[in-house]
Amino acid sequence: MFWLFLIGSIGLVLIGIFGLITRSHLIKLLLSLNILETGINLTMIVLGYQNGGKVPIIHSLLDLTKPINFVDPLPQALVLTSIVIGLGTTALALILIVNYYYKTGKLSLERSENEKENIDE
Amino acid sequence: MESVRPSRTIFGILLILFLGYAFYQGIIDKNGKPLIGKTKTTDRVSYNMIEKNVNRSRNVSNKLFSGIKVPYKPGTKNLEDGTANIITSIVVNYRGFDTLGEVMVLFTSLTGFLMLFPSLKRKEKLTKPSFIVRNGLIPLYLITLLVGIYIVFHGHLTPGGGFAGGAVIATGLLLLLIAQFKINEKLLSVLETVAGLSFLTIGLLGLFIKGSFLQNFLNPGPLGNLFSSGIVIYINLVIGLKVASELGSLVNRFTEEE
Amino acid sequence: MNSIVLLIVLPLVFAFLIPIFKGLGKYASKIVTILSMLTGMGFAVYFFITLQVPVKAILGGWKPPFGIVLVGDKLSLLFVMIIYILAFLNLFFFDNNFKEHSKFYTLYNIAIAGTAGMILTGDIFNMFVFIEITGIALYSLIAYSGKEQALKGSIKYLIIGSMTSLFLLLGVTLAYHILGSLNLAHISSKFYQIPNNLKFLILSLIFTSFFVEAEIFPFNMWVPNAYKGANIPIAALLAGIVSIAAGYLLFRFRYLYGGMRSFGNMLVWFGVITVVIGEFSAYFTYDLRKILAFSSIGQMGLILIAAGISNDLSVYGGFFQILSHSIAKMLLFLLAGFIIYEAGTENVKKMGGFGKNHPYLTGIFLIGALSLAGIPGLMGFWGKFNIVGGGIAAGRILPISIVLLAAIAESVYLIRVVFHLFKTDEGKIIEKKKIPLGYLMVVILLSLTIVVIGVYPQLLNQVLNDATKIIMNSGSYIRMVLG
Repeated sequence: MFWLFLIGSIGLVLIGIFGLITRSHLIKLLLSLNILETGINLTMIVLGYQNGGKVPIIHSLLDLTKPINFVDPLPQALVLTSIVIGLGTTALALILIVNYYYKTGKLSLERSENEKENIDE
Repeated sequence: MESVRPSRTIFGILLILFLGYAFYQGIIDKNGKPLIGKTKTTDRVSYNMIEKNVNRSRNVSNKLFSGIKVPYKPGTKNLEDGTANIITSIVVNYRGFDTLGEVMVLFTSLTGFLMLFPSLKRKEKLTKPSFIVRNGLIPLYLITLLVGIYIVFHGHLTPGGGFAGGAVIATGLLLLLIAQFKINEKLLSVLETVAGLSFLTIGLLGLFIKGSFLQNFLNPGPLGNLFSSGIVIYINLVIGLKVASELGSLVNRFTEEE
Repeated sequence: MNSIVLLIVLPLVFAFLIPIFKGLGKYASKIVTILSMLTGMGFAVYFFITLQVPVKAILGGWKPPFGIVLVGDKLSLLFVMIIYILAFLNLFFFDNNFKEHSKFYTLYNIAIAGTAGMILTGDIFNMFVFIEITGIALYSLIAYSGKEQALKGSIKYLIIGSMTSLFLLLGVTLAYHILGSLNLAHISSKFYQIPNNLKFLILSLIFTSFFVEAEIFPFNMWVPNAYKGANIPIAALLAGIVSIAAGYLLFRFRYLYGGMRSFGNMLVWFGVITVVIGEFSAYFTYDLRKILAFSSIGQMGLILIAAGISNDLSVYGGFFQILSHSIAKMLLFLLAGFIIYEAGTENVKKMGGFGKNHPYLTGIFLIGALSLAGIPGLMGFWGKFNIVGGGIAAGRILPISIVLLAAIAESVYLIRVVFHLFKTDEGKIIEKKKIPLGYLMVVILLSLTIVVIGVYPQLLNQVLNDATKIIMNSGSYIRMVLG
């Protein structure tokens, strides 16, 4: 199971990188970034996974003398942080893109052919 | 429509093939056997966090941390951290400073968001919500609020905590916005500032009372009780408040009319 | 000494106080920020002066490999102190007519707290969090000016920065998966156990993130746009303050890559490519801000080369280079701000006449430029001198000779700027504008620092030798943190 999960999540990471490399539309870039982020988060969960591991919560009904059965809780805690950071980045990126669109009227960072560089804008 | 140049696609395919291959090469040894996946939780720091014997563990050479095992059952008192949910205990207690950083990230991005929000007038008027939407959403909002508060308060016992609960409460605020109730943005920003300052105050109290920033200066209490685990529940409360007010003012900004 | 956490927490407290006090008046946010930087500076100087042995601040009361730990030694506290001093000096250049200035100052405080956190923390996941805090604050600050270039730079920075910090996260998790810890000292004490290819993978994943902040090729395409578009104090913040933190991280992680010649080689060659690209792009442009941006890229490439060579001399030179670059680049950006304001253009060719109006300011610009180019007698010389010496001692003649060639290009284009400033254009007269007093004092202070340390480098000798020892000797760091 470990390897299946790992291949799947690394696959998502690679899809995200592919999107970031090939696309120029800003919203698509942001979506690729989010796919990449999901892939990394899943990878982190996988790296903390243990076969047959339980949710790391001390149950009220069970006497857990062998808490080692838990999956590793630390990567899950890290993923929580990572998700929140991703949320903040995405919100900020969207507002930057909106600003850019209002300023230039386009949704791509690439310069079109008829534009010339002018030092004093 | 956006056109994708074929040269770029080929470059992208080659690049991800290379990266995938590099990753594969990184995680196998010389005989082609994988280096990762042989999980041994006992070798990791989280083992002592599960066992709740961080303070009693010793550093044996640099390999293992052997500690004294604390047999714990529901209701056990004086564990070093009375949190039943070990993930919450890591997020809020063992690695509480990360969570402070996380809250700061959210605050930073919201501040940037509000600073850069373009001042433009809405082109179309919003349609008035129907009677059913306006009145049906109130009980729904109350239920959402209740669920959110429950999740915040039980973060140390069940899955959940400040971030999840705060997000649920913010969803409730979004419901209010659909019904076109006005939310006072000033109030949200005051709540946010108060929550942020109280997080830092809890941390500084730990520094001045116990000598370490964000240290638990309250009694942990029996495992499994609602008011157990010392400052964890208060930090969860503060985080919940902060996340709810931040996400609330984020969605609120979109519906504002000039 | 658990109180060194105040260096990170105090700016955050002030950041939260700004929304409360902003109603009190036009300058309230600025005064709160000045107070914040002054208290931070006071604490940093106090901690640095009273420091006898390296200290650690345990957070949450959990001992090191379990909880998060902040490490204050001669190196990290020196850098934090310099960050606070430069951040305080930078405040003199803020325009008082900002529209949403309270949020701007809030973000400034958070960015400083983030850079201080990046330097002080001894936990690699915590470092990721601080990199993100700094990054997100910087994306907004860069975009604040509202220019197209600034937005472009900000979006590029955001996408590259988030992508690479996710790689950093993957590297951190892999290290945790194998070694079971997130503490830098604990990881470096066990890092020898894992095979080289896995080491290489983890280190590459981690270093991509540093490369963004350190403006290393190929992660530096945001730099010209951001420096071109951002407000001058923010460009100075990027060049003078964030680069310190980035350079510091490159050296601090020598604990992990110290024994690996293959990884050091990779760093050296990335650095060489960066130097060449930076210096030659600067050579072919006449845009004052872009010249400074590209020169910044070149200097950071040199720092990466020093990190890659990583023997005593080059580490010493690398620290010298970090400090001299940040001071000189900050000075040049601040001067460039005034030049652009007076000349009304960013094109170097149209700036003739400024030198006639303000010969002394142009002289100070020349001092900063010569220091960057590494002319003997100024602060920048000693950094380059030691790095070159370290490279020759390590037998890496080819990279060093390429770097020396690039340095010639650098001195040519920097002196060319001064030449254009002194050139008088007959048809066009630049109106002379008054120099604000606070501005003048800061500029003189920075240039005096460059000259004095250039003439008496032994002033920094003691502290930088200590810093070099800290970096070269991972054993004492590990014992200090885990013991």
